[in-house]
Amino acid sequence: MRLKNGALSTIFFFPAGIFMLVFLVYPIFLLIRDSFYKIDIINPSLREFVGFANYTNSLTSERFLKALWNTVVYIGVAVGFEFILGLILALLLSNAFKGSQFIRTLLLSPLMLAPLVTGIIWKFMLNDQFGIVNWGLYKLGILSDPHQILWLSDSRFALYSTIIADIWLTTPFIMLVLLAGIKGIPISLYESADMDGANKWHKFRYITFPSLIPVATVALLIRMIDAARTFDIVWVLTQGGPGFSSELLSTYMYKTLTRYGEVGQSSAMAVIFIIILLVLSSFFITKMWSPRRRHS
Amino acid sequence: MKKKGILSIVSLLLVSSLFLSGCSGEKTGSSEAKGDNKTITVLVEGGSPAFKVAKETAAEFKEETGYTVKIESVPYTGVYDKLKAEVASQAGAFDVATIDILWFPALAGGLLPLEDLMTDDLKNDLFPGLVEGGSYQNKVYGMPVWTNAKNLIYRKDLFEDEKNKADFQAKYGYELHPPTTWDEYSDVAKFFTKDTNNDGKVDMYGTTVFGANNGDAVASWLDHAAQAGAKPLVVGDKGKVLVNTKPYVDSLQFLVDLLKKDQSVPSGALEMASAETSELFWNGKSAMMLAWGHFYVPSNDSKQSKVAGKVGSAPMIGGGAGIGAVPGPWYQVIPSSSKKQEIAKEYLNFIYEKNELFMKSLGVAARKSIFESYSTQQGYEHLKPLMMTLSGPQTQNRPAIKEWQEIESEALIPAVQYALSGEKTPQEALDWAADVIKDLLPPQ
Repeated sequence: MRLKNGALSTIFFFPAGIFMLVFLVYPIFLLIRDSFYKIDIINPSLREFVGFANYTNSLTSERFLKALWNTVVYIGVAVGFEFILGLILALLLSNAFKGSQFIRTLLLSPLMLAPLVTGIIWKFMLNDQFGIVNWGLYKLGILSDPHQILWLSDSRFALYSTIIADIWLTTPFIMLVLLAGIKGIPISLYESADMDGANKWHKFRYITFPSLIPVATVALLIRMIDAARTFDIVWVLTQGGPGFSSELLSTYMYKTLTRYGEVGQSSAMAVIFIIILLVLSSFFITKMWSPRRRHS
Repeated sequence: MKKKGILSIVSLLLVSSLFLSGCSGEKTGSSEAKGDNKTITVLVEGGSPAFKVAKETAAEFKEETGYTVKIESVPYTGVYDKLKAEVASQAGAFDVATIDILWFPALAGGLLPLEDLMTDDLKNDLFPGLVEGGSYQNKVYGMPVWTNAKNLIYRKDLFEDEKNKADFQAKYGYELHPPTTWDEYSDVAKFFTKDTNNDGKVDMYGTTVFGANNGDAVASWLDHAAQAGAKPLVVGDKGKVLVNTKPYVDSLQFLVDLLKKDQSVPSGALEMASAETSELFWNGKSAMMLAWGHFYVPSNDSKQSKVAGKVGSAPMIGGGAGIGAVPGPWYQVIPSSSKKQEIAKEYLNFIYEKNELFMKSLGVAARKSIFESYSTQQGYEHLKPLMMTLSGPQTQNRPAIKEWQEIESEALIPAVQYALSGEKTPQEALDWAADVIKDLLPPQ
């Protein structure tokens, strides 16, 4: 019986296993291998083993570290705001009221847009000559000049402009996941709390929030990894400018590979990036999803 | 027992179908290699004149040669990416491609030399630097299809207005006309920058400055560096870095002054490039623009431009060393991996004979004779000034070096932006750029 089940499992695993090998493991192997070489893309035969030179060049490069720091800021600010806004919206919508279904649908609509389209929309909105944001702020009297804030062309604002677009696009995802989590909390817990005289804050603090931690962990982890890989929005809005002020690792790696033809260097950067994300994921899962905590 | 057997068979079928789908690609490749397929594949930028001309002429080419022209169109950078992948993989996916001059150093190793197509008649009909621009290390790889340069495009109605003329003369002491020097350009730009509806906000600018995160900003600044005496551009003989010398600093300072001191250009310069500049001009918000010569044509098209019929064109302004500009030509090339090189060469000659179609489609072409014959026609008034610009004493190509893309993105664009934003002075920005470029160039 055991043998039969084991054999069956192996047979079922086989197609997926091959898929993984061909499309995930093998490409990663190639990536790691390429990261140890200096490769001329035009003359692939001129392949020179350089050991860890690509790694040391990356880690000591001001450009790489700046792009890495921008990526950290991007993740921290974007995901932070998305979580807070998403949680607020989820809590509001978890109390059914007239029109809540309609509002929920409206709030989810940014999720339907491709990131590339979002980038184009926000590029027009934030333009200092034609953009609706500056003219709106000017008409409200907040700005004294409609050209006062150069969202996309001031190096102090460019990165945050791309973050604004990302928050707008992706907050609905967090909202949706957290809303599902809230819906999944047994009503009996709230009824018991009511009988014990708990107020709204107590119910949130001791029932809602702890119950949401596993769901929130998954949502945050997915979102952080996605934010780390962000490319389309930044590429459309600023292409990493002005002067690298909004350059993320993803855009820098893309330029290094396709524009400059430095396969080895971009492979090394990608490997470093993967390692960082793996460490982040492991830390997150270990700390926030501890079976021990859940048990207690 | 029977169930297990069936499941095993199904799994094997799934696995084998995976392999079979992998093999089908090879079959397609092999049929192409045999040459049974009378098709050539042409890679072009989507929506571009190259796309239109390829489409318009496909039927005639088939009639003449029996070969079907299959057109593959992708966005601008997609052409480079696909061609680079082709050069690296040698798959033979493309027989002809239409490319920007900038891409030759990076791609030349995978292109077919075209010396045998370069007849004296052909060379004599091209502007200076056009054959050189399609060459790398003294070998010709590109057949020109069009050439272009920034030209002055201006509001003729404003310049010819009697009140404006009188006011300008009184203020600046000379007659108002399309500027030919840096000083005149600066004066005219200041003169036309004003609040036309008296709401307290400037709504008309003299001109624009390019500072966007793309090569347009660099080419635009290098135009002025050339005018100030830069020759060659950016990198000299034996890898000498020239970018922080006087012509470059002076020209960058010139642009910074227009933006910061005179304020005769929109403040969002770091978002400004050709598309944004032309939008401003077509909406009547700027009196002049230094834009690619062919922008004259849509400027006078009432479907696109609110100022249609009121537009004039003049040569690029000149500096201490005269008129100078960075040409932006495009070429047709043949990947050396093509399996149909002779037919591809026929195609290049075929398209060159129909160079006139690019003039009709875009407003510029490659051949001088076509420039000259169209320059006397209505709607093509930009061609005489453009010919002057293209033949200017300081008009020259960007350096043909492999590192150019990286130099542009990592050093020149940021330097222009640092200077325009005020984060660094022009000298500081260009000293920084010089250091970066030295690191990027191979050791001498």
